[in-house]
Amino acid sequence: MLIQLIIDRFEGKYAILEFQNKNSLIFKFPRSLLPQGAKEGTVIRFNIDLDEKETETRRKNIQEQLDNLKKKDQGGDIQL
Amino acid sequence: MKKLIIILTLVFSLGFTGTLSAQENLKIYFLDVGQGDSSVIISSSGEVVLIDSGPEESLILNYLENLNISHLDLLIASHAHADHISGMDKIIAKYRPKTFLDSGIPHTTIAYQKMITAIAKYNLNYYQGTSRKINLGPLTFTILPPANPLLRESELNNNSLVIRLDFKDFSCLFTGDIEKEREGQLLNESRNNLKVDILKIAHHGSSSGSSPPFIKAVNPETSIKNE
Repeated sequence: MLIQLIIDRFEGKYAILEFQNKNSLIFKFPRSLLPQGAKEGTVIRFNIDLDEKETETRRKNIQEQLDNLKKKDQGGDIQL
Repeated sequence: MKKLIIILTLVFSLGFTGTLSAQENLKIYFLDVGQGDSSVIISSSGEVVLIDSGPEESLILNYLENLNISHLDLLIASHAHADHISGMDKIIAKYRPKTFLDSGIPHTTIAYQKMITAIAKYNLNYYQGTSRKINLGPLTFTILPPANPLLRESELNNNSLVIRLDFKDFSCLFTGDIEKEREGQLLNESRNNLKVDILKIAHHGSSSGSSPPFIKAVNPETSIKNE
């Protein structure tokens, strides 16, 4: 999905972006991730897709890490 | 309020300087981290517990420093959303808590991955938030674990750990970000564990939680909301 936004202003490390749909949505976006030359009033485009393969890869890796931690838990109340 | 022995502090600025000296009492600091949660508990005998770390790494690190925290005995993450676990990896690296406890429900975010990587790297004792008690000096934490089966609606929030802290005749309930669905279940599962003196209101006081029957059962003398 391609969406178009307008840079309303900059506030510190963030750009305040305006998305015009039925309603106007305003949200913050890190200034450092904007292309060079972006300034107030510039129109930018985001191409947004689901990355299901990467999501599944991350889910598996993290589950494996967590499972390794859980193996150490022997259950029962904990006396510290 | 009971004649307790409780210092309840909302910390409003980084300029705040707490002190850990001459602790005769339990101290609970509900930190003002904005939209998120973080609470520091310091026992009368010097044990220190951190429940959640809020949404901003630099903020929580500054708070811990300004409170003169030198160690953490127990680190708890109520659930894996970034407004509760940001900076956990840095906290683990700096304070090297011996013990970590969370809901055992993973997330795919970088913040979560950094946290569990740090737990393994620094060899913390990992415990899952099952139905159990944790005894730490004069403190007893009773874990009210996520539902079984897990709630699928608003999953991470509703499967937050709910934690009851007891110290002498004082009690406090930390509710993570549970919502009405989970509150309803808790009324059936754990009604006897819900009545406390202080309630850390769930989900930053969102309208998704704090149903009247739940609040009635908890019946706190004081409630704390972070927003």
